[in-house]
Amino acid sequence: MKKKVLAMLLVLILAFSFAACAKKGQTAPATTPETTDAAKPAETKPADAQPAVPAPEPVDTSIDQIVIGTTAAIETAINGEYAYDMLSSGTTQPPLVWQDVDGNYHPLLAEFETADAKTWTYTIVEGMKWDDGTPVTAEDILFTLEYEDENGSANLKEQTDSEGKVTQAKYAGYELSADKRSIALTLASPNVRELGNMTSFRVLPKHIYEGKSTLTEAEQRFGCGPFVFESFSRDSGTITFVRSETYPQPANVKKLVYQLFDNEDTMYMALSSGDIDMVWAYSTGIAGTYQEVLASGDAVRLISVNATNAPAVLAFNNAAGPFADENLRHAVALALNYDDFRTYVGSPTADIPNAGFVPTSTVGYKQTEKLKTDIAAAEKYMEAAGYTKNEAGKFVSSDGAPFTFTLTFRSDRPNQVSCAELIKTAIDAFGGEVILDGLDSASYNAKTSNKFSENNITMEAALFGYTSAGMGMGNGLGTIYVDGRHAVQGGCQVYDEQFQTILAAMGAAKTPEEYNAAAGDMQDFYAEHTPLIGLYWDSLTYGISARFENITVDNAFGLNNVNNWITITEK
Amino acid sequence: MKKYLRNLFNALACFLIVIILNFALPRLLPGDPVAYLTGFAEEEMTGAQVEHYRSALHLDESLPRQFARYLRSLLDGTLGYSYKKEAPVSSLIRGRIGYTLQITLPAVVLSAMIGLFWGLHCGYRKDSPGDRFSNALLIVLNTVPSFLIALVLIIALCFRRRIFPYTGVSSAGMAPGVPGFLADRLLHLALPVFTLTLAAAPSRYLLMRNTAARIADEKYVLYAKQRGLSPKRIQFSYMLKNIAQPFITMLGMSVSLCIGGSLVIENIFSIGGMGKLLTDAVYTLDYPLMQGILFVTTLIMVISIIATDLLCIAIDPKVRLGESHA
Repeated sequence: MKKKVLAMLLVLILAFSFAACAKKGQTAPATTPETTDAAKPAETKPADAQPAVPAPEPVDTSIDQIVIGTTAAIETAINGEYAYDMLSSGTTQPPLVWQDVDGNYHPLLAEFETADAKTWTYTIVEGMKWDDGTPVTAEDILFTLEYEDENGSANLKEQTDSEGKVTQAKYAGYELSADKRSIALTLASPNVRELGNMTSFRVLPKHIYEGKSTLTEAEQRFGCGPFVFESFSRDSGTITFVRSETYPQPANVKKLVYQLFDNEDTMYMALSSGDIDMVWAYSTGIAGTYQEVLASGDAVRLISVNATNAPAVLAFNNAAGPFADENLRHAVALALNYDDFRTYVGSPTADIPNAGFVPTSTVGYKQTEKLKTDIAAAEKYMEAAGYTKNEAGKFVSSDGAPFTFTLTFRSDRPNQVSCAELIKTAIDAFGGEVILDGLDSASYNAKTSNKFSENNITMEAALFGYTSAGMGMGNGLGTIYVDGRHAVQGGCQVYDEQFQTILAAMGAAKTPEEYNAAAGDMQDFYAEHTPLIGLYWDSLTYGISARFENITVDNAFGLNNVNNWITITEK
Repeated sequence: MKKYLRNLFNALACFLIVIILNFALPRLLPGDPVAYLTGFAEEEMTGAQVEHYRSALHLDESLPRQFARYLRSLLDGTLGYSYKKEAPVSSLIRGRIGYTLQITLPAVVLSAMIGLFWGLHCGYRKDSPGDRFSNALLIVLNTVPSFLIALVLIIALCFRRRIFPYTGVSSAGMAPGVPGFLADRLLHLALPVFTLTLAAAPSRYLLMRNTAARIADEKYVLYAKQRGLSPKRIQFSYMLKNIAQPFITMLGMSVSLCIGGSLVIENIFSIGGMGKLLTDAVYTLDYPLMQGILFVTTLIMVISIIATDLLCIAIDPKVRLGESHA
């Protein structure tokens, strides 16, 4: 009897704990998930079938579902959450244009044209509609620019921050066409690379957002892409999108399910075993350690593309601290061992960067000398900076102060942690001292970015990872990270007159030739003055199930892009 | 009875100390309390930012008023504000604690039951081959970290044998009310619970086994054996009564320990519970969130201790009826 009572008590406790703890999912999709198997091709009639027989129904060869694994930290899945914005750029929020892996731009939400690189006209692609069927118009583009201005951007009106610093408006004016399909945006100064900024420009629905101080979750998930948001479940860690029936060119996939992982090991095991069809992280390929494992099987196809991002950058504060002295920047650059970064941090396809900083596939790339270790030359730069080696083999200044600097980096980025350790090892061996300053993202931003530090950048040297989009923003070549006047970035704090002159020339270029000439000058400036250096260049390697073909890779968003869902087919 | 009243007093005193320390530490430590209470470093904030946060956090008011505000935030359940996650701490914890409890409560119960029955059995038959084998096995298991247990189980039972899922607590499309929801939820929880149970059971087993082994030679046990009572009756009717108190106390303590232990399990099984929240808080130096989690964990611990003490009072006739009646 007692045993029965005990057993019943146990069952009751367990049932109670489940009942008490079970909570409803964020949003419950109406249907149960479909299988991951692709639709089987239906049988077809022979070509010489009798005319009297009714024509066969068109065969739907669409893929039923693709499951994408991601470690993106998504908590709300609404527009405005950075990680979700990057993800939805490939599903519900297509940017105005997209860039292929060769660097060419193509229309996505809008056609584009310019005659002088100053006035850019964007015309919404025929048939583009919001989820509720309302046509997308150029007024939505204008509304988005104005909406961003209300939230601190300087698109159409200049912004003044709390310390009186003015950021000039990016556009000098605009003109809407009578049919509201086109908008001509006139830049304050010409930019032949303006399209690079539009690869991440997503449009907000004016008819939903206008006049509202608060928006519902559904309103904040509104889109105009080839997919419609269906559900976000924290219980299952999934975000589901279903194919839009109104998108001009329907996707070849009926459903996309993004599976959120906290753990990369589990995610790559799931990819190898075929539980998920691909993995995705914005502007990040598969780490080298996993590439070798994935390549050893047949289940996964690895796709490598030349990257225009800079995965690991050592940026110096050129305005304050020890690296205001150019000699010390040169000395550190010459004291590092670039083979180590390539071998121990990069993937098997990693390469040693040039002194001109930007990767070879960058628009306007110019060949400059490769970075190399040269201790003798580095020591000469130290002498020029007023440092001499003491008996202990350490560099000290004339007043006996040791050569030391603080290196700030993101402690949640494994490649930055590894690079920081390698830099410390190299500089210690050279005769200096590095204080490692690993920070969380918010604290890091508050030390390395003009916007988040409110123009109070305090880092001496910092490690960065620049995305493709970031490298191309503004006048390109990563200049937004170098230019001390930049409203958001400006980590390197360069206010040099020569830099500003070249930057202005890049901005004033009206033809690609003019731009390339100025871009070459900028790379020469980087090589000559070393405001920052790349630690390694790397191709981006993406992983997708080997059962797919006709895959399209986007330069900014990798495999998670609108065009991929349209072209992809099953073998 | 006095012992339990003392325990109760100690638990409440500890709780009060945690509350006071939570309030006082950011204000007493060197440096600007704004930095501690926002999680942002002092030198990284401009003067305007510091003033903004100082006003928002009411640091310009007197200490008693600040303490009153702090107590009010505990009583109304908001527990402060996370500037890094831009949300009240209570809403962050409320959104996550359910997931953690779904793993930890069953794991606490199961590991306690395993520890109780197996430990009692082996303690009664101490030094038998079975006892020696169990001791060796569970001592080894006690040394294996929980992440390793989880990964081995995932590889064996999720990827090699497709028995269990390995992400989240539900399948996509499953929600309360959908047919099969409960079965799906149980299937998802099985492996994390099993992992946590395996990680927690050895310590419970060893406690019970050693306690049982110590009383196995007591006269009342020998007498029961001589009377020809069955081993099960001796174990559960005689020995259990005398070792129930340390077992119940251990059970109470293990609730809060399991919340900490689920940190790794939640990461591996991609379950966004308190463990994930605490990891984020530590990683981003989100002090208000860490303080909130510390408060909630302490509260759970105090409640557990009080509950177990009350249970001990209820089952101990010496306490319940007074020493003179025993």
